[in-house]
Amino acid sequence: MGTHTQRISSLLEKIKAEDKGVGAFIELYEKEALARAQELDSGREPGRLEGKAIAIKNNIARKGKRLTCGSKMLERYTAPYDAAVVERIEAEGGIIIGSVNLDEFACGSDTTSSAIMRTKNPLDHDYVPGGSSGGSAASVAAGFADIALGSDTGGSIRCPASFCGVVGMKPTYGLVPRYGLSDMAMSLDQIGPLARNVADAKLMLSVIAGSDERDQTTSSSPKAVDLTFKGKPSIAIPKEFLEGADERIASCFHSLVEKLRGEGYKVSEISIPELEHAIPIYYLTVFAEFSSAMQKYDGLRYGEILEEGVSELRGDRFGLEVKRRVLLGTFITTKEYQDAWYGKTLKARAVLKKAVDTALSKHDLLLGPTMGVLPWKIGEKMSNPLEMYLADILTVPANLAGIPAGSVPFGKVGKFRPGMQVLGGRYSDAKVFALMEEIERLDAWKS
Amino acid sequence: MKIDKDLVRKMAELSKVRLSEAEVSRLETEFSAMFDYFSSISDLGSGGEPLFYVAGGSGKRRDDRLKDCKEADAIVSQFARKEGRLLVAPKSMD
Amino acid sequence: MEVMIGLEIHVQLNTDAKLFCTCKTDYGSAQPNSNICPICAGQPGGKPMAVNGRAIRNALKIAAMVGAKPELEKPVFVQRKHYFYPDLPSGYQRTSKPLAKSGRFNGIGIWEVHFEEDPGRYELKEGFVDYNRSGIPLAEIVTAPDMRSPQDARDFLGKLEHYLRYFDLIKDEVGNMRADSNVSINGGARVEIKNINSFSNVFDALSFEIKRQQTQVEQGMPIVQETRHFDENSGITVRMRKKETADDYRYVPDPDIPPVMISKEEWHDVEKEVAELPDARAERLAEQYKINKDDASVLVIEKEFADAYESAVGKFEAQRFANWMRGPLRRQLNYQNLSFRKSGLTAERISELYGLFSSGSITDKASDQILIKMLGDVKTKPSEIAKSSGLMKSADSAALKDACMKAVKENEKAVSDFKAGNQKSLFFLVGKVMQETKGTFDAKEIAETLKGIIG
Repeated sequence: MGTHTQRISSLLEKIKAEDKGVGAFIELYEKEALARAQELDSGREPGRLEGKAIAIKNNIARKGKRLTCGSKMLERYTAPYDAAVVERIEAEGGIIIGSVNLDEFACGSDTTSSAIMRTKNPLDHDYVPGGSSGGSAASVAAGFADIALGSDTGGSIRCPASFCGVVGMKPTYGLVPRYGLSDMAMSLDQIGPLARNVADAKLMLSVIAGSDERDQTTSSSPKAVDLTFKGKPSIAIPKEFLEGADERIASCFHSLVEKLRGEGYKVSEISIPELEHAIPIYYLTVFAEFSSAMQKYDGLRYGEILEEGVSELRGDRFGLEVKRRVLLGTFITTKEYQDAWYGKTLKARAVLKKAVDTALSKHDLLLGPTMGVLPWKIGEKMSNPLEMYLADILTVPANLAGIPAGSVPFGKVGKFRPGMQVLGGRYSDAKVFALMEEIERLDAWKS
Repeated sequence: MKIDKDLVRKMAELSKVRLSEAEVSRLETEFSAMFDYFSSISDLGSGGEPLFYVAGGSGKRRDDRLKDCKEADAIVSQFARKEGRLLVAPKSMD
Repeated sequence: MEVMIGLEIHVQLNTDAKLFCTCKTDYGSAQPNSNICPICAGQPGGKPMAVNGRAIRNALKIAAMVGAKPELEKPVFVQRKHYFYPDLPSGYQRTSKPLAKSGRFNGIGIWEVHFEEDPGRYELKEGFVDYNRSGIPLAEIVTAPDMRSPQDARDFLGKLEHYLRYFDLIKDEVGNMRADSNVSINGGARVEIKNINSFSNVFDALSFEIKRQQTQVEQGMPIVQETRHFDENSGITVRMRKKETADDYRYVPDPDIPPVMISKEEWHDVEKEVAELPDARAERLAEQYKINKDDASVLVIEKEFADAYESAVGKFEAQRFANWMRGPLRRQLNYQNLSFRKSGLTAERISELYGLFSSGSITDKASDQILIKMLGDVKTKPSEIAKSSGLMKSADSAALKDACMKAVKENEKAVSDFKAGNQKSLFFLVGKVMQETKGTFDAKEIAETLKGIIG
């Protein structure tokens, strides 16, 4: 057996033995993965990914495979095409080993709203893995996959990365084509990598990034992206990022800042008061766009068996969080309420984006903890949606401004390794990775 | 913003999502809290231009060229009800 | 009775690919659900591609043609119009804000012109849905309620259709031009009539609706503002169930689509391309070439037809050439149900053919026959077709005499009728000889020869 085949075989065995405990994978692509591995052993071009095992969030289309999006609505649906990122991974010798779990239609911060299965945090099975890309983070943290793809609308890559103690990065909006990604909120979604180290995350981004005519929002991006960067970027810490943060996380953060200063980085403290409104702006945007994205689910085209009316079907197959967002989104875009709610949101977003862009014109990067809270126990945040929404406070600004943001673990709190978040201006993904690499290097706890 | 059960039911009807009475009650409470919190966006300057398109710029135009529709069969195979290649839809979209 | 009629006209723009994807725009003859992809069939993860440039160009030409004006260098956003219907695979239709406003066409105000994607085809009776049509580019023209009768609407649409075809702006497909109408009488409530699937049905729909409203008013019942559906088969309008018409489409700008911008240069080019409208051209042709106005208006039925005339007319006598083009040539095209544009004929080839005729090398009957052959053979020169088919005018008087003798011998009754004074019988005999000689002698010559034989 060649080295690739050997490696993939043992990974698959490991998953079959251990994923019962974690619950990361919705579907394993055993046959195809082994076939790909054999191709590489037979001399096929290894590409830049060289046979690495890749897990993809189950809202990214893989032709001929289930695309459940974590929902009963798409339980019987098989994707008829490959997402652009899937094509790119295959072209560069990546081996896609399976699809991983997520919050239903990517709505959530702990993966508990998936209608397909439960995913547990590999660091402690009583705790949530974060979300909505919980399966992606768990598969990497548990050693099942080398790199995973997730999607991030308001923190859905960075939150689970932080909760599971791995690296996760959301690229500049428009850098990675979303063709094949089921929409959560079109103006906020971005596909990005999760990995056990910054180098692999950076490698994956270089493979999937670049313009594609099937997603117009990528038209300003170059065809291929250069992520090399030399030098020490200047850093600013918005004080709003630390307000209300768990003091154990804040303590890890402060020791990071000390180390960075010790290495010669210029670190300033700033204030971006507009951040106070980030959560309302974010969620109102999400509600409006998500309800529009869910309009297509009328029971006619996606493998359902039609037994009931449209309202019954949607009431039955959508989970409660999805229903909340659909109702609220429909409501704030009605003629009567649109100006007061959605119209205002669009204007407020412009103001917030400008404030963030301004801060990033004066400093290369912003720094803060990724999440202000530690992972909660499974089931703990089910009763109050607003409480769950507020957990996103540190991650949503990057999506609202369309800027790159990455999370890298630093320090230790009990079993967990809190993530530190780096944000940069649009298209400064290379700078963001540079600081992430530095943080990783400085982390005494890295495995 | 006054959220009551009637408004929740109206939202459900517009969205074509059937709710149980228990869900209606629950959402009434949740939505009230949410709208209270969200109404703070009125504080944030309403003078400016709305952000319609995040990636910026205006649209390029595409050449009028064809590409094969290779996914057609796979798409048809998942229609809930079909007759040959035609999708069969119910009489009403309720 | 004062009638106010406005129209919302949808026309399919002439493109190969759809508005937001690269699927073919055929549906009439294509297998159902074969020209579909993840984008136009509403699959999860599909995203609209950049807008089809030719569609925008054609929509702009339509705007210019109806005198509407765009706001240059200003963003025109594409919106999502939300409603649930089986033919709408994404649950929303992508439709733009106005491209151009405030035009005037055939005396009727044009409020605005914009572009949008066609939904699929939904056949109500069986519930069959075909998404081949989903995503085809449409232009929508919204008129002011300036029409005062069904005839006005018919005239307007007739002229619009002529102009749209003239500039080759619309697709050649079943259902390529549709019009929703709205009508009120005597300042009463406005009724909207949907589902009028062809321009020809508009007259019938409006006629019925006006009569219906009249009757209702006479009976003392008020007109309700509502949407009605036109049933082609019975010719009546029927109230639509309230649920079928959405009250609120929740228009929002589509976050996946950047706005369209029209530059000064582009609009300038567009205006140039439709600078001479058909009616204006007819006037100019009549004046410039001194031909009948009536003939000129036939020449401008198609742009390429008028182009062919103008390109070749220099060699010939203008009025006679016009007669031939609008007469025998146009007749043959109509008989074969062909447009000049699709016939494969070119200015050079018809010029050559007419040249043979006007110089006396072929008879008019021969020229008809050569024309038929040219429609099936777009390569061979007309003169070669004439020679190889033996259609050149013959100078062989002996052959002519033989043919005449034969006709006389075989048609004794006609001969005696002619001798008795019946001119028609001579024409009959001439016809016989023409058939026999395959049009290689013209009627005058044949008549003279026959008279000589008969005495």
